[in-house]
Amino acid sequence: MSLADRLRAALGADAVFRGAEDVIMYEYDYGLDRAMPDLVALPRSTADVQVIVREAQAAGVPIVARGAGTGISGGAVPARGGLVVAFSRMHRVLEVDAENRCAVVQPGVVNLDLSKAAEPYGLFFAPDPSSQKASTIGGNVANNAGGPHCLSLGVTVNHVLGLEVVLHDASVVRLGGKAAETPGLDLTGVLVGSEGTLGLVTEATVRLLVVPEAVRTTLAVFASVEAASEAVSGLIGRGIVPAALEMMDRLALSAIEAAFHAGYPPEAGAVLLVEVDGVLEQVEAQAAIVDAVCREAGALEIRLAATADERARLWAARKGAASAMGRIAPNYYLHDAVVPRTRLPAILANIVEIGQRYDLPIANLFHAGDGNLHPMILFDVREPGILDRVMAAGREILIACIEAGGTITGEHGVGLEKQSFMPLVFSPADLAVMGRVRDAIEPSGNFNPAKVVPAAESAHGAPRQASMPALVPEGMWV
Amino acid sequence: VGLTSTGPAPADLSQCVHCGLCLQNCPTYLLTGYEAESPRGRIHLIQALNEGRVEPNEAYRQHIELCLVCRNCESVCPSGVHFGRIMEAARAQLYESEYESEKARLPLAERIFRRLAFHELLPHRIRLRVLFGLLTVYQQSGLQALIRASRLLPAPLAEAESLLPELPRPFLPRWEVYPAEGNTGERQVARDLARQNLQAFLGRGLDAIVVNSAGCGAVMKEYPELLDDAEAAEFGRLTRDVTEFLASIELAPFQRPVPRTVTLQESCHLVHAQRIKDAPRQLLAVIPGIELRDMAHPDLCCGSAGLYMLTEPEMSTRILDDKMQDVASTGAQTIVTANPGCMMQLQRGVRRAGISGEVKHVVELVDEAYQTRST
Repeated sequence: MSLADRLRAALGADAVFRGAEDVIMYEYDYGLDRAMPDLVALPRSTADVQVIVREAQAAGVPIVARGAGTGISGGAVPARGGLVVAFSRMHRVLEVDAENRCAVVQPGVVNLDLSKAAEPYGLFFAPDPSSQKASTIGGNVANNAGGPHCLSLGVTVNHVLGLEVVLHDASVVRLGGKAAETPGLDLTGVLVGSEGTLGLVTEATVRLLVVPEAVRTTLAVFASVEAASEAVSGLIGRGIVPAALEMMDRLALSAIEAAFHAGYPPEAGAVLLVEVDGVLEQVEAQAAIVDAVCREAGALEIRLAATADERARLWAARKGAASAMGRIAPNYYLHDAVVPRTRLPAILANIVEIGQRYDLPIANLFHAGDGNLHPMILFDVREPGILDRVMAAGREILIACIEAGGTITGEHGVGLEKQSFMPLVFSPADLAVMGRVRDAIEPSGNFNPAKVVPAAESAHGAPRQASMPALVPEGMWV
Repeated sequence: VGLTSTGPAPADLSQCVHCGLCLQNCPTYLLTGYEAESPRGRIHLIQALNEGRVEPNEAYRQHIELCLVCRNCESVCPSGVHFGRIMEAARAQLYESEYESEKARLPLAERIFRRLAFHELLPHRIRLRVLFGLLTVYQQSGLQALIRASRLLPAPLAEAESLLPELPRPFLPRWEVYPAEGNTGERQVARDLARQNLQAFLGRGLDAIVVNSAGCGAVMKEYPELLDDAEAAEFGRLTRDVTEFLASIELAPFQRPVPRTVTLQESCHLVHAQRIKDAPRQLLAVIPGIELRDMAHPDLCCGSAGLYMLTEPEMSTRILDDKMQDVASTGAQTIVTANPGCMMQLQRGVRRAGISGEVKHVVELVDEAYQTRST
């Protein structure tokens, strides 16, 4: 019996798919890399996941976890073919424990659905990636996802208390839990951000926070990115840590306003979206400082969101912004890099120069507060040879960020996309340790092979290769 | 970008950036959790067909046909992907590729007949069985009257018109108005029917063409895309959904309250295809006595979707049953909607759920508020 037949027998015919017409939509995520899976399985329970791992390991097939496929680094793309395990059917919020301010969820729960489930208790889940209306907690955990509000509240790893994980031998382990502190090695922390290379998360216990008493959201319009950057430095210099501090440049604004009509000025050189929250008095005081600092930096217009509805519209537009670029370009490469905040003006000028040199338009929208850049290189893939230019420009941007004291990813993960950049920020010794950790926890090498840790450093790594075809011909083992 | 016989326009397809923000707004993805039944997955599959990477086989056909074309994804797509247009062209391409050879030699009338008879109905024994089965049920349950009302514009038009004394004497065409089904891929049929409607309505000095079926209205507003000429543009410009029209004029004082607790099912062809979200709510807000209790996801399809409830009965029913749970948790006695197809489906839902309740078109409640005596 083939692997597909064995899985169908265990999971049901409607939970296992093969054949190009049934699985080709699992060859992508939101990024640029593509690779065809040979099989797709949709488990409904931890027990299903155990069966999948047992059978796939017996067949020696790669196992690639997938949430909603909203990642941007190719983390869910099956680089070596094999079996994609999509967690979309494990989407129940198992428990909202209001008293302990935590929730227990299945990995396929959509990020925003968790906050909706917590809302009646006055609680919310803090990590808010822009994909939050579609992305899953499992995917957030795998990529250690961030989001606009992670500036003051921390990224996913700061909000994961415990995990249930199916390991390479199909055994189940539970790491951490509801207790605030756990002794021993922080294996939960090791799993977060491991992109499915160490195990398959089948349940997560996550921290919930109390919805702040007051929120003030300011939209400040500037003539240039430099002026807006000055305001960012000014805010940080005044000791304010806003809940969120976002910048969008002119090219990004043109697409955003076309898509959302949320009140962003499409002709402005740059805008800042600044949010402060907390107790009412403190928030009022901070909002006044935001106003003053933006004026000092030469803001052309400053608007305080008057209603919850206006605030919601501003955020919906900001969070949908990257996805709106399809209005101004058929393709784009959405980058993710980090620089120290003080280097923002210099690196932005650098990006403009790189764009000009490669003759590629680059739109910018990013988390200015923590220096997390998202340059978007716009292009049309049908133009011959353009991908090489796009890749070269992207590489130059990343190298510029590293030279400015930054790093190669802030929140999107390493996946396939950033593997070749890992040696630029980690020494061979660093990478060797990562490789040993990986091999110790997942010795088979079948869990999301060719991801995160570059080839030489893990016994089972592989060089990055975009659009790599499945290595095993269909029918041999599936 | 117009429709082509070679499939969706490449520019339409490449507008999708595969970000996945549509997933949670797709009824079939929500129910299956399967990317093949999502907007992004379907676009990718269609693109793959046009790149020669997949075959137009039975699996392909099933994914394409399981789409409701509710166009919820269009409403939420930041990149403004014209999903309805893509799916329409993809279906046309699929059906044409299958029947290319026999079609070419036949005259138009026979082609239309053959297409409908041999292509849409006869090859689908399940469709036929379901169609006849449902027809029997509808006739015996007294729903036939409702179907008839949904097909004939004059009576409901007259009803709406009677509310509006300041309008000129209503024009009642003798034509049956053809709800040109845009989403079944029968483009030539749709064009011919559209031409008939242009002849029936245009050149009569009308201020508006008011339609009480959101599905018909959506297609009528898109005549300019279908025919691409000045007449079609004029027709599209004049077309108004009845709720859109009533919300845009000053209404005469209501005669009596309509004491009802209602919940609104926002018909997809109104809220997504025509992007009219506020008009039905505005009307419900001004009718005295009405309390609106919103259900979860009022903008999610009820599974009616034109012929879908006949062609994909299983998925249609699963979607409907979920919808009825959302309805039940509001405690409302009346489901209000803006499209006859949705009304039929929701009636079925009420019966299936075994709950007491009624289904009304928004305009029926407006009408009630204008009755001088209790009906």
